[in-house]
Amino acid sequence: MVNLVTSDNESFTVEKAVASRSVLIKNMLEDVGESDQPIPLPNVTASVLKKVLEYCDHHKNEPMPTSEDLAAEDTRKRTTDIGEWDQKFIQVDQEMLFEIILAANYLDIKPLLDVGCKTVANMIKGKTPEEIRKLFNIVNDFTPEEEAQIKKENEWAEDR
Amino acid sequence: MKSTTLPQLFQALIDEVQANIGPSAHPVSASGPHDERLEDSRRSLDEELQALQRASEAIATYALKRMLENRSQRNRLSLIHQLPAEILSTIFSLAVRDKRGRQSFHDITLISSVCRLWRGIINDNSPAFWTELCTLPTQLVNIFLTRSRAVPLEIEFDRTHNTGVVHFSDFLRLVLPQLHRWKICRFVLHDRKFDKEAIASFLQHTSTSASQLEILDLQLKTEEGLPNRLVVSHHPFAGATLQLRNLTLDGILVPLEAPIFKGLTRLTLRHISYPDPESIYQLLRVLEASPLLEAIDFTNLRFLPIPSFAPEAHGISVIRLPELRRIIWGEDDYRQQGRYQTLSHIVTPASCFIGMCPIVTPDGDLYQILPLQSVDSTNLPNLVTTNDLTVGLDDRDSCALQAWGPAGVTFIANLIGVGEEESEEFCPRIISNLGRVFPMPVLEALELEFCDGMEGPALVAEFAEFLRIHPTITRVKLVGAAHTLMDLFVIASTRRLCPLLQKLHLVSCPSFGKAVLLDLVASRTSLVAVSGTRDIAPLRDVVLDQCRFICNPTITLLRTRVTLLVLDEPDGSDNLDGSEQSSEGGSTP
Repeated sequence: MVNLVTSDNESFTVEKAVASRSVLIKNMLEDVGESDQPIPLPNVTASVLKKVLEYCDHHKNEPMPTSEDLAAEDTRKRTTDIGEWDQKFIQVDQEMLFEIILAANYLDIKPLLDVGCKTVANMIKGKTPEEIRKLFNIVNDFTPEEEAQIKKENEWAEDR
Repeated sequence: MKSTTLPQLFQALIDEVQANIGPSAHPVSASGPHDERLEDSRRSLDEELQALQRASEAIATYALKRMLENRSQRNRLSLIHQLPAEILSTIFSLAVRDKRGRQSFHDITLISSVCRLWRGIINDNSPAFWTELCTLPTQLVNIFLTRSRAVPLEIEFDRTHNTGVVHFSDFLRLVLPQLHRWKICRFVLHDRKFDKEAIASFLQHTSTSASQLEILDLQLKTEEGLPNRLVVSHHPFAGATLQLRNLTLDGILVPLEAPIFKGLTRLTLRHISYPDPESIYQLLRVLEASPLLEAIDFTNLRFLPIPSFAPEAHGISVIRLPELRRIIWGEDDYRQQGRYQTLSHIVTPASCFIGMCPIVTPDGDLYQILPLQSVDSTNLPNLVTTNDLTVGLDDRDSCALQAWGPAGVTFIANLIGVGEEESEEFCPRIISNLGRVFPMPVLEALELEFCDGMEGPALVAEFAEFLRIHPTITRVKLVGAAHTLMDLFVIASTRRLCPLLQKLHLVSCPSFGKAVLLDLVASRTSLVAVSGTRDIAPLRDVVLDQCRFICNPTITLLRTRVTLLVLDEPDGSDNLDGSEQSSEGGSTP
């Protein structure tokens, strides 16, 4: 078992196989060797780590992506399809969604980072700029000159 | 900034303006005696007005600037902007791709229209967004070239998707200076004068190396599929395409000794006629120079006939292509020997798929499409692994073959017999040679598809011989077959074809009656009654699909002997064949 301590000082004791879905923790465990010392995770809160561990537990028996897999996977050619369980798992509010993505990035859990990025990408797809702004609480901050340039580029895009 | 700061700032601005202008001039009556004083007052008022105008504009500009700055700062506080720029860039790259993974410029512009931060990430910090120059209007080409920085480019111009807004020559003029950055080049053009000249000019001017080019796909199309729309006499890209792995040339003849034909993993050549008698040997050398080839597609390649094919005499030994997964060879000229010659000299792995559309000579047969005596007896081993074969006889002059092995489809050939439209010999000849040209020692499943009236005595006789030399068959599916063919499966003292047959599937077999089927099933399920049938497996399953001849009593009887599945089972008494109903003599269950 592995003991993880969050930024808000909460402890989680989890199976090694679950914790090792994080490449960061896996490398730490390999570096430290057999030890009872808790592993501090200063960038992750308890509520987020709980979600992350739920994901890791569900996927603990799946093969870890190899470096060849990662090299072969061209980010630019990927689709945004998400598995059924992952879709349900990631149905959280925006704050939690972005926290999960940040945690996955920090903990180096590539498949979870993928699920998070694809979820946000799917939220963006098919929406107008105004709808996207509303969704993410963003305001239009373009200068009139930038607006004119954007308008021109949009016209070129329509002409294609 | 605190909320009180901004009003204070505005007050300071107003004070500054007042200090510059000074106190307002006193109004002067126009009726005064001194014109000079009047003129001074007017000038003074004009200056004050201008200063106020300038101040007003400065305030408006300042307010707008601050407003936009504040909006940008506010945007940075949005939850999504907790994510670092790299992750946002990844999200955007996923959001602008369609189901096929292709990037949409329209979606890129939409996302970059959301806010300055997003626009900055897309335009200035994500060069990968700007590398796919696919039939772009010229206004956009320069934008893409600038924003993609030094990242390798995917250059594509497809005339079939271009509505005519973009001219190939204009597009080419802008992208050609970046040749050193090209990673993929795909030009699909029509055989029209301006396209032809442009691509000829392109190939003429590619005298510099394309050091990053990995995929080159040049197609000059005509509706008629005519060969050699363009003949290139030199070696493109100065012969320096070290990264080139995937090459397609359609209608464009490039000398086969050109260095672009080396080190490839995918090679597609279509509609090319080689004028040099040595070309078939050059093609073999191309294969020899690309031992890691994974896919070959040769369609309508024409070579001059040579008196004798002797690759060894030209220093070409057997070519082993251990990575080859797929070879397609389509032809429209039955006199062409290129396929036969090439296939006889290469060795492919067992999992390799072979697809062909050969046109065989009058009186020709399967011997013409694959080499019988090859330099290496196992050069096309995938055929030996065939365990599932479909033979479609749609017409008197055509035969479709499809073979599966453990790894999937291994072979497809659509044979067309030249001048055999009225002949009844073509199909029997093909069936006769099937097992001889394609040895299938582990064949388990056979599907035969006939059209009406195909089963003449010659075909039935050859089919019987085919079954005799393939005793391993356990499953047979007959589509549109007549009773003469069904008879072959009845076990008799003098005929024991398909001894391991366990499953029989009949589809759309309207012309044979129940008697043949009952005989067949009875002979294969009551084996103890026939002497010497110890090695014959009993028939277990029968599937009847769209066999409207069958009646319910027959179904009942069959079910006492085999597991029967009737996919369009007649309901109740809807016996379509009254004689069968009466001969059955039983009641409908």
